[in-house]
Amino acid sequence: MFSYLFMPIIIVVFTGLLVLLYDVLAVNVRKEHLLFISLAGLIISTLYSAILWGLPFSFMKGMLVSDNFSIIFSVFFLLSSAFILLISYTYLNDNNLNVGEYYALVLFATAGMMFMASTFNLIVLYLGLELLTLPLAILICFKKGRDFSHEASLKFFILSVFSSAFFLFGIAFMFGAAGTINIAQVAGDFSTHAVISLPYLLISAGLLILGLGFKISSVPFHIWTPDVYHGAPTPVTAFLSAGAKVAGFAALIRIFFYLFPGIHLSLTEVFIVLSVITMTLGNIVAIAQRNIKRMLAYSSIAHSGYVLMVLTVFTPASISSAIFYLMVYVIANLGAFGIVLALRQKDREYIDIMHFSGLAWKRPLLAGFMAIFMLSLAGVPPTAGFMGKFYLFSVTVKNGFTGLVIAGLINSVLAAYYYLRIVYLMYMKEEKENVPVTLFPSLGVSLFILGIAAIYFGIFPSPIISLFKTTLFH
Amino acid sequence: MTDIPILSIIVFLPLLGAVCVSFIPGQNKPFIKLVAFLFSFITFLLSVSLFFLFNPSVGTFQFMEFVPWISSIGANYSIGIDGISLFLLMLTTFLTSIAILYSFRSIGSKVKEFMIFMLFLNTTMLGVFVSLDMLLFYLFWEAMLIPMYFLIGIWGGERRVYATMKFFLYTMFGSVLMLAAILYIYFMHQKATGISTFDLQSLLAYSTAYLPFKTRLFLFLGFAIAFAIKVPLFPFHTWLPDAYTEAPIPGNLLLAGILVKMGVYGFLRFAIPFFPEVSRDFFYPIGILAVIGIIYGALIAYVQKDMKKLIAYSSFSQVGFIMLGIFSFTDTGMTGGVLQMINHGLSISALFLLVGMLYDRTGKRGINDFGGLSGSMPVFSAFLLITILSSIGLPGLNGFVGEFLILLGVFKVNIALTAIASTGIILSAIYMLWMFQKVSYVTPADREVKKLPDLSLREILILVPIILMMFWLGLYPKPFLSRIEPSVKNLITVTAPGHFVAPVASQFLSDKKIPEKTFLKSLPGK
Repeated sequence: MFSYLFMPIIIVVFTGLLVLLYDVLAVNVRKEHLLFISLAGLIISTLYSAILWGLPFSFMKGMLVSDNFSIIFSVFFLLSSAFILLISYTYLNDNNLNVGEYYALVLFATAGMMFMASTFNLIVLYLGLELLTLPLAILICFKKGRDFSHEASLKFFILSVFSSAFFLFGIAFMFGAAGTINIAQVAGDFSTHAVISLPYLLISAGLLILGLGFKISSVPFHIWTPDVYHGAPTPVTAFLSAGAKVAGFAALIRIFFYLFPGIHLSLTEVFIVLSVITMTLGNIVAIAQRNIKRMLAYSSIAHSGYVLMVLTVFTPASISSAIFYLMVYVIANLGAFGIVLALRQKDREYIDIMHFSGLAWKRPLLAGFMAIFMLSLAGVPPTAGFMGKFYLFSVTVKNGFTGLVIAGLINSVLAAYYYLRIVYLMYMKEEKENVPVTLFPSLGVSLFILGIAAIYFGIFPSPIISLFKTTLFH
Repeated sequence: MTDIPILSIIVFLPLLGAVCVSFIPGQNKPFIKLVAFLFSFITFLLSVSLFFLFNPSVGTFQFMEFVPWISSIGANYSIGIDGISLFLLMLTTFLTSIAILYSFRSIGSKVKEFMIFMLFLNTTMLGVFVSLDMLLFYLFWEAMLIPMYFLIGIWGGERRVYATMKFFLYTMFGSVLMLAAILYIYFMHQKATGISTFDLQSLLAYSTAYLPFKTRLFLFLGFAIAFAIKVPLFPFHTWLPDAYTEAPIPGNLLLAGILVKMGVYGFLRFAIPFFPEVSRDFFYPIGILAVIGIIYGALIAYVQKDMKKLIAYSSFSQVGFIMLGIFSFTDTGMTGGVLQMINHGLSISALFLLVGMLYDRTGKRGINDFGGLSGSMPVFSAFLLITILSSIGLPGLNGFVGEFLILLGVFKVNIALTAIASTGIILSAIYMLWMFQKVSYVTPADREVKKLPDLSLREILILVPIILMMFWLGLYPKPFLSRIEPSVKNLITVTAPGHFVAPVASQFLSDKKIPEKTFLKSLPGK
């Protein structure tokens, strides 16, 4: 039973090791084999997770659990990592980065994210967080010899350690207050009136929010985001914006869903303030960006703000809408970064937004997909982004925060401006500089799948929403 | 009625056309044009068949279709039309065909993309008019912005990017307020009845009977601002001159002919039935704004030197009449308002087309650039005269019937407003006839103008159906009125004070769940 429960994570870790070994030991290393092995590992792990659906398990008092919540997120992480590997393949080749370590680090980070989603124990969650952070810090400076890459990596590493320290401190307070670091048990003890020191618990909650706020780049813990997104190699930026951020949310939801109702204590105001300043600052600053990676960085900050809207009240509906929103956000964001990856020649990238000028008349299909991703991020129907926002806002109204929704809606109008600017550049501006396009099969296929998904979930969200809604935390 | 989902076919046929067009290679322009036109024309023919299949004696929805869509939140694919949407539907398909036919010559570059956006726009516009589910309605309403954004932004005039951004953000701002209002009603309804639904009728019955007045006021404003921006009602009109001036002519046709009607339609279908008392209270604010719009638009139109701008402002001015008629809450006024939507759609598109035809020949649109066209372009002048007369409401042509009914309706409510609004007609006669005189009779400064070729067969074919419709509506509007009136009467009944009595209001107020049956008894016809 033990291994049965562990299997998806074990598969991912072993695939990482296998890739490393293969790269070192095999006589004729074919680079595409690295990709195939990693993909195979991710897909097998996905299938294995799917088998565990509906069979809740808990190992060693919740040190490791497998419930539908963890499975949804695990599948989420596995698939987004698979897309990351697919869209980065030729980029790695062109930059002489196509080595086993890249794949291994991505896989290890994925395992870390899966740990974060599948535990009740804060120490295990912390281990998962570190297992995610360390590979990421290496990945960010994977492209050697660029100063701002190194700067980005160092910045990320130091701030990560800093925020991890807060997180650990929060765990310590939790232990001091409740005598346990198992959040389910804390909540249970509290409801049975066991002795728990409430002030310490509050301090603990604050510190945990602080630690995780860094991961989800919520304002005011967002300062690292633009620089790191800019400095990291583009596939790694995509990985940060998709996987790492969602893992932060998974942990946040896991901790506070169990803690909030249990301790009869509401941190609602905290989340309202975080949500409003996060989305407003993200959107306003994004308008001023001229670099597409920085623009997407600020946009990703803003999207964290939207998700925080529903986390003001932790109901199953809130959580399912948050997961759905994260899903459509990741689809569109991975797609957008995929397009950024396509605008390049060998190791030279074209990341100024002006480089998108006239793309539509040169590569209509590529620009069409970019337009879909931008409109989806802006939340215009019939794209998935609209359904995500709609569901999110409707749950927030249901939770009783109509004012928050109005703030969110006005923000989405603000955001429409800078997303539409990319569309405008692509369709309504003449091409100034001859920007080369490097499209390779694995990127093309990924973009195609993501583009179709971005429309499909906008028109037929019903099955996936009911999946999230009906089976959460069972 | 029939087993064929004819409404769905009409709505999605243009989308199918867009998909088909996207598979044709871009170099094959004639074929692209042909395919696009055929799709829009077949859609038009199908919508004409609705006119005959429609049962004029019933005021409620017909051709209803229902398919569950997002069951977990109670949104359904639920569509149907009544007498009001029937004609807007027909106007949409008609004007889209005309616009596509017109664009054969005027759109030279990027034809394929143009046709794709036109057909996509057509589907979203039709979707707005048939939706009976709030979420579905909002989806179409917002989706419509995308193709319009591209149409203005790619094929528009010099300041097109500014105009299209302004149009998009302005409209989106209004829409999100409406979204907030929709969500609020949805959850109030869900909280009270335990049923989650976006169904128009259920939400309507609930909100009219059970929401507190103050809440209704805010919700009405949420809807009203969204629709007032679209109409546009003074002072929300500032996007209009930019968008109208910069849009390509086919875009103008759909902007002025149909998008504007969506705002009015929104009032008729949502804002008024949802909040009848509030709407009645808003007769004066909206009536006064409408009258300001009429006079202000007419005065600005009067000083324009650019014909397109003149028409843009005259359109803004005339929309005031429609709003006035609808908010009079009399069946004559409202019927006139609905009829005037069609009239305005016809005359304003004809005017834009005529200006576009001059622009195609000379690349100019200034009133002073032309003159003496009655000599060089007699057919053109004749068409222009008929259109102008229709637009200023000459008896015998369509504009008269609508304006007359509106003024008759408003007269019963308030004489002063009627009187001021009527001066708008005089003003419109002044600036329109002045423009006509200038363009057709005064000797031109530029000799080239005298040699302009008259309308081609294609151009005549574009204009003749519109002109014929103007005469038909002007001389024998009965087939139209007989279909509009029952729906309007139904609307007035529904919005009459105390129509939705609240037998179980106390239970609602105490936030208790009540069984579905008790609630449904309070709905009409159940």
